[in-house]
Amino acid sequence: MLEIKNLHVKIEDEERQILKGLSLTVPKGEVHAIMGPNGSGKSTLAYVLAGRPGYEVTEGDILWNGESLLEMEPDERAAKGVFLAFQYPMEIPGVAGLTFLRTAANAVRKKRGEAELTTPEFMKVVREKAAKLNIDTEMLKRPVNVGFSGGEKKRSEILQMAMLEPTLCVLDETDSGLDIDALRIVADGVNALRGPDRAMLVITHYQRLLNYIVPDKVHVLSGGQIRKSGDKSLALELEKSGYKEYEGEAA
Amino acid sequence: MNVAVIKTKAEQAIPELFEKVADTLPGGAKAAPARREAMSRFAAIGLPHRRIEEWKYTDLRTSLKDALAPATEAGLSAEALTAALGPLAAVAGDRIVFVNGIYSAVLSTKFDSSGLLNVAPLSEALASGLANLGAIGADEGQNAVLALNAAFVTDGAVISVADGAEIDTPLLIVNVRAGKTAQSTATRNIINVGTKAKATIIEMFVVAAGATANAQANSATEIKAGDGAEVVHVKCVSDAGEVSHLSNWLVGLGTGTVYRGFQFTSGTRVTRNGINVTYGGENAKLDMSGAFLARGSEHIDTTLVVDHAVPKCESRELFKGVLANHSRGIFQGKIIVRPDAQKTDGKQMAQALMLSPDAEFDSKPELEIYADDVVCGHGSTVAEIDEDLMFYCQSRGIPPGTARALLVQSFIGEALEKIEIETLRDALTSTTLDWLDETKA
Amino acid sequence: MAAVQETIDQVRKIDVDQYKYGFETDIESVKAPRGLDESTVRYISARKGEPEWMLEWRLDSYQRWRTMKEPTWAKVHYPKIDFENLYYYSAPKSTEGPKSLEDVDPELLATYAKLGIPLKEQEILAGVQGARVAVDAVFDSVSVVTTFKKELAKAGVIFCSISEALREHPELVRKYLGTVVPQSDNFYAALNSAVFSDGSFVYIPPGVRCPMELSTYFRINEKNTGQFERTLIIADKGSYVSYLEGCTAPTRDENQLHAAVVELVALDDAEIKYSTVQNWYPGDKNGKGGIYNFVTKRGDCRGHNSKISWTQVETGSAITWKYPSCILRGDNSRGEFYSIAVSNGYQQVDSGTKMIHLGKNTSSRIISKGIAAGYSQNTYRGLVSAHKKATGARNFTNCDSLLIGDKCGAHTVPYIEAKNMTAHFEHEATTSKISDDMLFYCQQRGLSAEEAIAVVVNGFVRDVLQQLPMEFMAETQKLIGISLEGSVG
Repeated sequence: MLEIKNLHVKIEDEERQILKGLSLTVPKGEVHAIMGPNGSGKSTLAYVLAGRPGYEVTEGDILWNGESLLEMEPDERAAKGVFLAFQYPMEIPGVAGLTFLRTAANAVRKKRGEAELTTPEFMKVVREKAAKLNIDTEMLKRPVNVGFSGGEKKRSEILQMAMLEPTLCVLDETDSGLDIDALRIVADGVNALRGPDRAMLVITHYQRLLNYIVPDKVHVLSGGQIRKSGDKSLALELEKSGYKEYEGEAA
Repeated sequence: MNVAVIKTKAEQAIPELFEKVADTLPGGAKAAPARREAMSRFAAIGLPHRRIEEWKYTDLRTSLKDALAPATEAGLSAEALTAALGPLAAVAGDRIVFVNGIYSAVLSTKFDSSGLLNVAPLSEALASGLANLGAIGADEGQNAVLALNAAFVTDGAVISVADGAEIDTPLLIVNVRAGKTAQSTATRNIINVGTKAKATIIEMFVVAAGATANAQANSATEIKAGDGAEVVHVKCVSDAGEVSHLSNWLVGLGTGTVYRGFQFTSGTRVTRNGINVTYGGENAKLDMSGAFLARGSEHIDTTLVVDHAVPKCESRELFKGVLANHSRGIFQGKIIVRPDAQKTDGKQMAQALMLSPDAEFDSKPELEIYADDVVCGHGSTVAEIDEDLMFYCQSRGIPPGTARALLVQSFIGEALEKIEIETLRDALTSTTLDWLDETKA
Repeated sequence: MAAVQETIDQVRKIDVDQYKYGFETDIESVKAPRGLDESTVRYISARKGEPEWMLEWRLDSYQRWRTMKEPTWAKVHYPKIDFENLYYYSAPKSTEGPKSLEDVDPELLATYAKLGIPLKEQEILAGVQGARVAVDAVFDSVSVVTTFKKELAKAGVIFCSISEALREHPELVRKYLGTVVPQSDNFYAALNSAVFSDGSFVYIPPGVRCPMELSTYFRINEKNTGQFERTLIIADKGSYVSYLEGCTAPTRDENQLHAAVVELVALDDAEIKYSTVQNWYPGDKNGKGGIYNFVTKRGDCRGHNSKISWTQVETGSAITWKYPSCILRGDNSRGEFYSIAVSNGYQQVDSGTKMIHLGKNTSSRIISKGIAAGYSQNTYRGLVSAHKKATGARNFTNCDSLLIGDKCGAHTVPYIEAKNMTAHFEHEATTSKISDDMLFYCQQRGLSAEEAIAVVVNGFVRDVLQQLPMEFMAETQKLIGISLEGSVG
C-alpha cells in the first residue's frame, strides 16, 4: 500500500512550495488516477515518488508497504518495486536497449535477492514479455529511445515496466504525444500489468486515457493538494466542466 | 615574436644522440642525407612550444624533458605478444610486427608478393632504395616532430595495394614496446592504396608485460588513397606509464576516395595526434573520428587539419574524450575550404565528458572558409555526466556506479559506433570498460 | 509582408555606392605636432589641464607601449603603420574652453544634424516616438557637447566627457581607470592609455535606473589624425544603464587610425547594456582608404548578480580588430555578446569576444552573425574559459557566417577552455551561402536580387537585431543594406 502523508515539497534553492500537504492512499490491486490543471504539481509528485534529485521534501512522508521511501536512492526505490514511466523518456545514445534492460533487470534482481538472469534466460523473458505487450523486440537493438517516435518511446517504457516487475507503477502523462492507436497499445500494455499485488498511479491532464485505463478512484490535484476524490465519474465531470472550480491557491 | 630561446636539455641532447647512432640507422648511405637534412631542420626549429599557435596547449619543451636513447632489439614470444595486445588480440588480420621499432619476422605474417598486396619493413625498403625518407618531404615543413621522425626512424610498414585489389583481411601494424631500459622509438609507415582498391589498415601500439614505464614513441604514417579507393584506417594506442606518443598522419585522398579513419588513445602520459588530410580530387568522402580516455595527469592532444582544396568533397569528424582526475584533453580541428572548393560539406564535433573536478578540456574547432557555396559547421561541448540521465538509469534500478559506467559507455559508444569492424569495436569497448573499472573518480 | 516592403523602401532610398557619412566638415582646428614622444603626451595632458597623477599614468603607459610590438595573430593584413607620421591630438578651435549647447560652433551642430544626431535637446524631445537619448558628441579628439546633463544630474547620474570627469570627479576616475583594461594589456591599449584625448564617462549611483539612454557619437574629421577615445562606465550596486555608441568618418584616401579603450564596471546587482553601431569609413570599392579600428573593450562583472551585455553592429572600417569581453568575476554574474559583422569590398574584420568565467554559477551567451561579401575577410575569434573555481559555469555560443560571392572568406576561431568539471559549454558554428531557394522565393515575389539579399540577411541577423534598442533597429537594418550594396554581380 502507498501512503502519502501531508507531503510538502519545494524545488531546491527556491522558495516556492509545489506540494503543500498532499495526502493520498493507494491500496494494492487498485488503480488511482491523479488529474489536475497544468502547474498543479502532478509531475512533481511523480518525480518525488521516484526520488529525482532537485526536490526537497520539507514536511510529511511517503510510505510504501509501511517503509519510508524518502531516504532511499532512486535505484533502491526501484528495487523496492517503484517504477516511474516518464512523460519524456530519456535518450541514451550508444547503449543498446537490450544492454540497458538487462543491466537494469539484473541490478533489481540482485537487490531483491534473486538470481541474475543469464543472457539466454534474459532473452527468453524479454521475448515473452514483449510478445504479451505486442512489442517488436527489434526496437531493443537500437540505442535506448534514440530516434524513437513518441509511441515507440512509451512502448519501450511499458516494456521496461514489465521487465522490472514493479509493485508500484507511476505513469506520468503517459498519453501525452500519442495518437489514438498508440494510446490504445500503451493502455493495453498497462492493463495487462494490472494485478492484485500491484498499485498504480496514473497521472494525466485529460480524461481520454481513463477510457482505456479505467481507474478505481480519481483524485483532483490542484494548488499542491488533493482537492477532491471520487470514482471514475469524477473524471467525466472534469472533462465537461474543466478545472475552473479548482483553480487558485489551496486554502 | 620568436625571440631566440635557450635550448632545453632535450633539444641539446637530441642532435648529440643523433651523431652517436646515425651510422647504425637503417638505409645506410641511401637514407643518410635525408636524415641529416631532417636533423638540421630540427636543430633550427627546436621542440614546439606554446607560443606556436598549433602547439598552444601542448608544450613539448616542458613535457619532453629528456631525450631517450633509441630502443634496442628485445625478444618477445608469441604468447607475450598476445598478452600485450589484450582485448585487441581478438582482432583478426595479417600482422606486421615491430618490437621496439624493429621488424620481427618471427611474429609477423609471411606475406607473399601476390602482386595485389605488397608488405615490407621500411628498413629493407630503405636499404634497397624502394622507399625514401623524403617521400613526405614537402609536407613536413616546420613540423619538428616529423623532422625527428625522419632523422631517427628505424622501421615501419611499407604497404602498397595494387589498383583494383580488394584486400578483405585487415592489415595489422603492431607496435610493441618491451624491455626494461628507458627508450625512444621512431617508426614510419608509407602506405599506397591504388585506384579503386580496398584495404583496412589498423595500427596498434601496445606494451609488453614488464616493459619500462619510461618511453617515447614517434610515429608517422603517410597514406595515399587513390581515385575511388576505399580505405579504413585505425590507430589504437593502449599503453601505460610515463610514455609520450607523438604521432602524425598525413592523408592524401583522390577523386571519389572513401576514407574512414579512427584514433583511439588511452594510457599515455602525453599524446599528440597530428592529423592532416588533403583532398586531391572531387567527390571524396572522409570520416575522421576518435575517442580518448585520460586519467591521472595524462594529456591527450588531437590536432586535425582538413584541407578542402578541391570542390564537392565531404568531411565528417567526431572526437570524444573522457577526462578523469587531473587529466587534460585537447582538440584542435581546423577545416579549410580553399577558394575553388565549392560544394564542400564539412561537419565536425568535439565533445568531452569530465569525470573529475580537476580535469581540463581545451577545444579549438576552427573554420577557415574561402568559398561561398559550402555547408560547414562545427560544434564542441564540454559537460559532466547528465544528472537527468543518471536519475533515469537509477529509477530503473541501476546503482549509481553502474549507471555512470553505462553513461560513459554511451558517450564513447557514439564515437566507437563509427568503427565497422565488430571485433575491433568490441575490443575497444571492453578496453573502455576496463579503463573505467580501474579509474577512480 | 510589411517588413519586406519596409526593407525594399529602405533599400530604394539608398544612394548607390555612396558612404553617406563621407562628407567633411570645414572647421579650423588645433593640433598637437605630428609624431609621438613624451612631449606629445605632456602636450595632451596639459591641454586638458589634467592632474599630475594622470600625466604620470600616461607617461608610464607610453614607456610600456614603447617596449611592445603590434599584435600579428589576427587575420588582418595592412601595411605597417607609421606611428611617427600621425597627429595624436586635434580639436575644433571653437570648442576650447567651457561648453554649453549655446557655445557650440554652428558648423559642428550642422555636422551632427547631417549625421542624423540632433544635439539640441528640444529636437530630441520631438524626435523618435518621444524616446529621449542623451548624447556626448566627440569630434576628433574632444567632446564638443553633452546633452541632458542637468536632467541626468537630478537622478545622480554623471554623464560627461572623460576630460571633464578628470576635472570634476578625479577620485572616481582614478579609482576605476585602467582596472579593467590595464595600461599594458595590449599594444593599442597601451598607446591609448598614453595619448587618449577624450571619450565619455558615466557613473550610475547605487539603485538608480538611468532615466534615459545614454549615447556617444564619435566623428573623425581631421586628416592624418588618430582618434584615441577612452570610455569608462561604472554601474554602482543595483543600478542599470543602457549606452549606445555610434561612429562615422569622412571619405578619405589614406587610412586613419582609431584605437579606443572602453572599460565597464558592474558592481553587485548592476546591469550595463552597451550597444555599438560602428560605421567608420570602410574605404572605397578598391580598398583604398578607410579606418583602422583597433579597439579594446572589456567589461568587468565585479559584483554578484551583475550583468554586462555587449551588442555590436560592425559595418564600417577597413580593418576591425575588436573583442568586447566580459570578466565574470562576481558569483551569478552574466555576460552577453551579440554581434553582427558585415564586410564588403576589401574590408577585414577580426572580431569576437572573451567570456572569462571566474565566479561561481556564472553564465554567458554569444551570438555572432558574420556576413562576408565582395573581397572581404570576416573572422570570428572568441574565447570561453572556466577557471578552476568557477563552478557551475555555463556558456552557449552560436556563430553563423554567411558568404555572398566566391571571392570573400569567413572564418571561425573559437577557443574553449574548461578547467572545471561542472562547466557546461556548448559551441556551435555554421558557415553557408545565402540560400538560393530563399532568394528565388523572394525574387519570384517580385524583389530584385539585391532586395532579396537584404531581406534574407535581415532574417539571418534577426536574433542580434532584437537586442538593439528600438530606435537603432531600423537604422541598423538600413545600414546593413547599404553595406552590402554591389555585392551581387
